[in-house]
Amino acid sequence: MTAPALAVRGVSVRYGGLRAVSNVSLEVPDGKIVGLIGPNGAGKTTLVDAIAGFVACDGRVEIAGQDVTRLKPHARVRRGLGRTWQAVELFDDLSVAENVAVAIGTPSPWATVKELFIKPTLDKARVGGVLDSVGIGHLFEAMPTELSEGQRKLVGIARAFAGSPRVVCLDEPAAGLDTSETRALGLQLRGLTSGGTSMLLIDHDIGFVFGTCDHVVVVEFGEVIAEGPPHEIYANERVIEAYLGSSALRTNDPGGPS
Amino acid sequence: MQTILVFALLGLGSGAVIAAVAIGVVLSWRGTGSFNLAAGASVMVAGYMFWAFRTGFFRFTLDTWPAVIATLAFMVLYAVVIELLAVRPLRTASPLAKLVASLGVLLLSQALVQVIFGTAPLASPAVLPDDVIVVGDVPVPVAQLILAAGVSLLAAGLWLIYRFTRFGLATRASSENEVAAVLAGLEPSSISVMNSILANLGAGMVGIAAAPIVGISATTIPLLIVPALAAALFARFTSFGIACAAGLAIGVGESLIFYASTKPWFPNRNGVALSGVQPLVVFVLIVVALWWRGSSLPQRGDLRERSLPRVPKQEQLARRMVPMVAACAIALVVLPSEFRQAVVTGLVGTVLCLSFIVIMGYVGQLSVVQLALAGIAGFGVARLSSRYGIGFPLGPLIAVVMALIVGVVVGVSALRVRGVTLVVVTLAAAVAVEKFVFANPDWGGGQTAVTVEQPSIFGVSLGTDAGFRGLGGDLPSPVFGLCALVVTAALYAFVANLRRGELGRRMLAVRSNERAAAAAGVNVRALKVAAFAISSALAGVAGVLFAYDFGTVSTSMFDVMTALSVVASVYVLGVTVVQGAVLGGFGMVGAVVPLILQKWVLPQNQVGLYVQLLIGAGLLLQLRFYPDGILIASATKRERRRVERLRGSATPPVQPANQQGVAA
Amino acid sequence: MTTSALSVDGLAAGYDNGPVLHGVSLYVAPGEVVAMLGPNGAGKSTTLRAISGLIRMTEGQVRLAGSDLAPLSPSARARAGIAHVPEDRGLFRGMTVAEHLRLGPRKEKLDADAAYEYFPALRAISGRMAGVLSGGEQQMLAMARALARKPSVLLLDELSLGLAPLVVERLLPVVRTYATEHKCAVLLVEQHVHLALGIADRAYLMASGVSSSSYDAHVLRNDMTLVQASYLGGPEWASEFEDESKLPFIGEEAQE
Repeated sequence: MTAPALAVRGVSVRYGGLRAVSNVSLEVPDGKIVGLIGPNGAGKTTLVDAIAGFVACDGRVEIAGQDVTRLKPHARVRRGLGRTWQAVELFDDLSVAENVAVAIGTPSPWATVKELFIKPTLDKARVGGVLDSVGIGHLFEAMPTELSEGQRKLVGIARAFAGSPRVVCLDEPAAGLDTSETRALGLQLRGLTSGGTSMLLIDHDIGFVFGTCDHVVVVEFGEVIAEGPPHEIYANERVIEAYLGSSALRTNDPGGPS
Repeated sequence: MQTILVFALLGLGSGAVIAAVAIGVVLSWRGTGSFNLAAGASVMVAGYMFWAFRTGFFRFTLDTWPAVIATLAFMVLYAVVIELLAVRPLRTASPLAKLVASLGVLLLSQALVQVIFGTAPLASPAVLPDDVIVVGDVPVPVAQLILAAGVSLLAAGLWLIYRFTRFGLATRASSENEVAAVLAGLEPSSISVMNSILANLGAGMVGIAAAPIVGISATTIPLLIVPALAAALFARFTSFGIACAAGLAIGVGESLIFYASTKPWFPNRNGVALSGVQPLVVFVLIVVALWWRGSSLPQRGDLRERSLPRVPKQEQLARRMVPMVAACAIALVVLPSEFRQAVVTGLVGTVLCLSFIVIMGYVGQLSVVQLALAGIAGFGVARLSSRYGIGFPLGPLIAVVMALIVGVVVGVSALRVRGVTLVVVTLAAAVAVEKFVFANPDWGGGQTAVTVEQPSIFGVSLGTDAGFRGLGGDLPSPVFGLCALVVTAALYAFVANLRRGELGRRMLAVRSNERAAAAAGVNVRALKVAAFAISSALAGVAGVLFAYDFGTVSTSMFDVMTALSVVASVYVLGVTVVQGAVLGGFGMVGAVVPLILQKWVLPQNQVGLYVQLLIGAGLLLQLRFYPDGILIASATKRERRRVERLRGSATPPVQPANQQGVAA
Repeated sequence: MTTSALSVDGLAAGYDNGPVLHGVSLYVAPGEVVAMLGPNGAGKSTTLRAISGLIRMTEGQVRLAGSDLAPLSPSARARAGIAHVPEDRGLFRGMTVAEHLRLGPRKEKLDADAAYEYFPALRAISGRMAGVLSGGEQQMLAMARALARKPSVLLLDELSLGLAPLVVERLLPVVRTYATEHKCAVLLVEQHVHLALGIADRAYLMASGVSSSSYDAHVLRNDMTLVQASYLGGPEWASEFEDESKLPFIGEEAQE
């Protein structure tokens, strides 16, 4: 029994007096996609920030069994973590290929120094492969400012996967994508798991989450209120309440996915 | 004990000026969100104008009160003009662009004042009584007390205005959350102009009253911005009371250090006390303030920020370099000695500017300490050979390493800060190095220039005194120029190459977005230190070359105002492309462009001032019309055309970036 | 017909990275509360921001009581009678509650007493800094400030963000009362659909930057399928769970 790719154990985050995340525990097994859903302001992004090391938290974060709670963000990345942002944070001064190249991995200091004196090259095959895996190989030369929002999302995702991470946290990858793009993204993400990469997927598009994930965790007010396989969650009254307000939908139970 | 008190009280005079400048800095930050390097220049302008009104410079002489009123009226006008020229066009620009604009104002004001009123310090007629009252046994100069009380009243008055008036409320609101202020129906631009007027009126009053005490000098007063920034940092750019108290305290402290320097226990050499301790203390204070009060300024919820200048790709490097290098080589041999010297200076200036390209262009850290680092290497190479007999090639090597170490120390002390705040640290460091190191007769040059032994290897001279004298047959020898050309070309290629490689990608990643860079596995701190090291080493090489080029080094070559001019000129031309460094280098005083101006266009004796004037004016025009810099604007245009050609006309044009924001 | 306090016609707008709104049309009559419902990223907040002028619109028209707002800056729009409570509440952390209720442009006099009447709880904390208030108190303050300005149009963005439903259930009725009493047109973006429909007269559903035609609030309350479909997934995904015919605004989108 190997350790899960990502384990979050009793993590809490406080901003001033406010508890943004309260004692959340979850596991992302190897090669699986776990969805994280919940209403606005439920603390999902804060949890990802805690996992990636951008906010201080109580509790433990483990990547492949290793405790990374005390590590800085870049060190966690080198342990096998990737992440994306809801508002895609690309390096606008670098081309799409260069954006991915930055994340591909740390070259040895010697290689870095050597490159300063001989003509530097970019590992085109590897960068191209990463871009192809999310279906944007044709954007290799483009600049981020020339891209549509959907394309920017995909570049951000490609960058998160570039370093062959064990686990990637995806914050709202489908927001701003149109329906067909979202569907394609779901298929691509499923495809990427075959390489052994696991994912923690946050999205508001519940259909997308249910269609893509193996397991879904629901949070509200910083706490986990439900978890289980998608079809169970979809039927969960409390989840629907959390989304649509109190005692909203008694009359129209949509039924589970076929 | 009594003497200490007297010195403390004497320090209140300059302390009051520092406090007034600090208050001006706070007003600018809260009123407009701009980081105002020109706050000290306002005091200078007021001092000169008052002098001019009182002494008949404008062919009429006013009495004290009419002159005061006329000066204050002028300060209102000055505030409005600056607002229209340098503040309003940049209202939605990034804090960095606003900072650079205030640098333009500083350079422009300082140069204009010197062109109009001359460069010699003036003695202004006294406004405050020169009585001395004796308290106990201590003689207390009344003027200093009045000045300190006046500035304290100014701070208190501003506090009251900010606390209790509608205008103050509106300013606080828009400095805290500009979006919400706009939604409340407030007009940030009119709030901004009112605050500018207040700041300049305050600076004006202090300038008038303090001019006779501290003396009117265009070279010293604007630089009071450095201790004033320290005071403003302690006030978190928010509190008038703390800014005022800290400013007064710094003045008193400097005066006490001066008193201490007269004591036998103070570090000295042959009875001459160590100089420049005050700016060193200010530098330390700034670093302490940054660590203690947090790394960032209070956030303003600004509407939007324009990002840093774009970084075009460096393409076809070799093909573009070869003709340039060949042209320089021919020029070195063919041109008469005056121009040959100017070409060499231009080449060395290019190396200096390359160091800005790395730290400012690639990593986005606005550092002004580069020229001081060059000075360290320059004095280092001179002193190593004169004192320790370490000549070429070991001497310059050690000198460059010294510059690198100092640069990394400054960089590390500023690791927690970025962008705008970094300029405070590096500015203070530059002043400290100038006054503490360069002015020291042992380490630097003191009041005199230090001769530099020319480089030679295996008995073959590579310096300006080498045997081959070019077509003109006169000094300096083109041999050194050719050596400098080789070094410059190599470093030029190195910096261009840096942009294309892994390290450069990481630098640009950090510049674009530190968070995302960390999430891509970049160690942001280590990378910044590496960038500081590279750019410091480049500055060091430039310093060594300067030393050989001129044959002597002196403090005035590396002073802070020169450094600010160079920073500004590189920014005007293009801070993210190596070509910008070439133009910046050849535009430096002593290089080709100013020489041409001097010979045929401008009055001969003041070319430095006019160049500064041009740079200051150019900066303001450029920020307005080509916010990225001239070279980058043209490169962007080329690139956009290329993209459009590639795409054909089928796809709709790209939404131009940075066009949104509030319809003004 | 210019009786509506606010009317938006064919609005398109967006940010640097591309357009978000493709065609939003709606109107709000004086004294009416209108809700905008839809999933995240549908463009609801962006619509409000375009109305108050925080982002520039690229196409369409926004009219305040019949007069075009296009030439007005955001501050001028605010002075013309639009009060926008943004998602982050738009407060000034270092200013007291009382100061918030004094802050305004020169010619505007805020009615602090009225504000305290609607939110009596604020009176006791009037000397406290906004930054130290609880989330609920902050939201009350944000709304009190907006109401004290006596706007003709009130734009409310995600009142409930980060608040317990109980608090939201207390805040929303105030909006209803104010709208009715002062003939104020209220446009409400809200994710607590049930609560929003509880006080609204009408509602628009939004998806992918396009607005639907308006529905009577009670119609939506009685038949939640429409809303549910728009929330629980984009139209396409919902179709895996839902009968396509129950998603009328997909059809409308196609007609655009």
